[in-house]
Amino acid sequence: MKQPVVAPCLICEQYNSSDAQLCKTCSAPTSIATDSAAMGRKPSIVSIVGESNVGKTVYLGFLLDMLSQRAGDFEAIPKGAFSIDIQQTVISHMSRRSFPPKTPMEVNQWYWAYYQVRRRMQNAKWADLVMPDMAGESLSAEVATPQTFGVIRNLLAKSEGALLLIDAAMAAHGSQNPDFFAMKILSYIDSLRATKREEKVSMPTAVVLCKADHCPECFDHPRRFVEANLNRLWNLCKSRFENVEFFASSVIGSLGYATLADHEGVVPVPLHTALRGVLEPFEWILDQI
Amino acid sequence: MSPKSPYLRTVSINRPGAAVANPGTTATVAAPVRGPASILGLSPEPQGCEKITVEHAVFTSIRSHTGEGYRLIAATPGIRQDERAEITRRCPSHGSLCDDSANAVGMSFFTLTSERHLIAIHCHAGVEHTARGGQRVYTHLVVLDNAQFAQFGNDAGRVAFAIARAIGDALVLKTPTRFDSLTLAVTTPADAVRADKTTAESARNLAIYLLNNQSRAFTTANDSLQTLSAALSQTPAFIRARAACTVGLKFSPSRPMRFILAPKDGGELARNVRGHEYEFVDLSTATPQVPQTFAAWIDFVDRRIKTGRLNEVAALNDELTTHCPAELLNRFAEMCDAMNCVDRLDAEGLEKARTRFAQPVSQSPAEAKRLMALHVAMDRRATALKKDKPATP
Repeated sequence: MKQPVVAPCLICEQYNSSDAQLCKTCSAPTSIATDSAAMGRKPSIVSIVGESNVGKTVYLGFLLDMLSQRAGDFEAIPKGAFSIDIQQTVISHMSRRSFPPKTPMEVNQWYWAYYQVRRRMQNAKWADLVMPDMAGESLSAEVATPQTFGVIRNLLAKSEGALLLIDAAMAAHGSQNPDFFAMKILSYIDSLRATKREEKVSMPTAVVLCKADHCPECFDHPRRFVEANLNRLWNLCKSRFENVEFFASSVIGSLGYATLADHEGVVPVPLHTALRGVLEPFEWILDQI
Repeated sequence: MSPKSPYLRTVSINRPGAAVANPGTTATVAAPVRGPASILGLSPEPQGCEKITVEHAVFTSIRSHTGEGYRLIAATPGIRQDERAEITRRCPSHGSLCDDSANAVGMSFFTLTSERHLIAIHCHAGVEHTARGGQRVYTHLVVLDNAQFAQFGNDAGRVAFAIARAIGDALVLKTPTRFDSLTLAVTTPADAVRADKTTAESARNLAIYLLNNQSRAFTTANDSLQTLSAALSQTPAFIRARAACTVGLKFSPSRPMRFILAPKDGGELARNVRGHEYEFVDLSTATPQVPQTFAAWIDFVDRRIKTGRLNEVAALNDELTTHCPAELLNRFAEMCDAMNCVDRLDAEGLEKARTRFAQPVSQSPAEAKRLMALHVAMDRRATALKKDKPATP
């Protein structure tokens, strides 16, 4: 029988007992650390960040499903059953015409995806990727008061790439919140990473304009869209981030709206999915790391 | 990519029979949200009981002009920034209550890093506002200093019931323009404890485990909140103060607690605490071994409960706010027993009691108070015995 390799947690570097499924300090799956120790190489962490309800879970779920179905000539192998949970949850909910449940703030309830990915071409190298699905509220809390969620700080400090998801629909309709939240996140990353004021953050950061089906113009010119509608973010990126790219993405083809007997508001019902621009930001990140 | 892959074409998840959110249903006004007091069926606070004003806050999920999702939506100014961060980290969010129903109620208690005590009551407050399924978890919490907590005998269960009574059905689900301090009624154990026989049995087991200072995860087939309340009333106040716990909440390592109490859940709690520093115990079937050092005390509590005098034990426990070693607890048990039978003692028995309880053995004010009462009772008995004694010729 294979003996588990005792290795410190990849995120918080604490040791755990051999029977622990999750790290007792940060709740990351312990198998990420044991598997990477067994393979003798450290995986790259790619963080997916964004406001609550921006669509991080749906984006990551569809991205992983596309990768595991070899979309874009990628080959992806999940490392452990826990990596499949998120795509299963997202796909099964969407096929029942509902959005997946909210990601709780409790770290042990987050989804973690640990995949080996490579392009299907000769001599292409495998990249080991860890992608956690963090709760938007936890991110907001950590950004507002650093050290509230130490696991987020550790994750962002160790990330080799980040996907910053922004609600393009809200931004296009004049809301300033997506701009402010994106600025907060980037300034948090800036304060974590940059050691000197004149040094820019080199971590590849893909700014993904989600729900772009509501404002199709951002597919044509995502940069121009950000410059016009998310100008504060645009300026911060120009000043402090040297490796940023902008993308537009959409998952839902059409939305219906329903009322429920036990609910006062209107419930959005995803009638069908039409994926667009899901793979491109990931592809760009993979090329950069 | 596989030719069968849905990503070769536009994905259309439009299967017949897929559940559409109640098509054709007429929209009706949602049922009014009930507060924890209504759900628990708590009687109104007793007339004339003492009241205190405390700092409080609400942690739940709402949509506001600055964002959406779970956060502290209202807090009185007395709750400090560092406390707010800790509260945000440890409060339950989506899907954290063990019971999915609208009638779920839970509570939590822990001491903040600032050394103030947080007691919270949790319930569901309607459907999650983003309509992504599940109920919205609502937390109303108070932050008490040592003096305020001592007024409740360090009993977090009693505080939780007081919060439930104070907020009623008026849950805060919009950012309030004004948020004043909360007034809590300081109830006695008699107002709080309503344990039936089987709950009392679970509570007795829990109280024994609480005497040992270890982290445990418990499930019970009985009402978890009543079990906790009854167990705390059987436990000295200095132990209650360190009994950080959650009741009716799912286990999360982000909420480190002394113990977790949850309703029976088909083994979910046992699975979740594996690898963490919690020993799993099913209170319905557990037969905890009575620690020898506390044997006399536990026997005393058991006898009082059997004779329907739990309130006496709870009142004594309320006074034991400073650390008492096992020997002192056992001595309290002896003193209470002596007090109970002093009117039936003969001269010889009275003399023995006088010798046994001549001097206090500790600095505890509770011991001094009981000793004084016992001496008064013994003097009264001695006088009575003298009167009864036939005059010698």
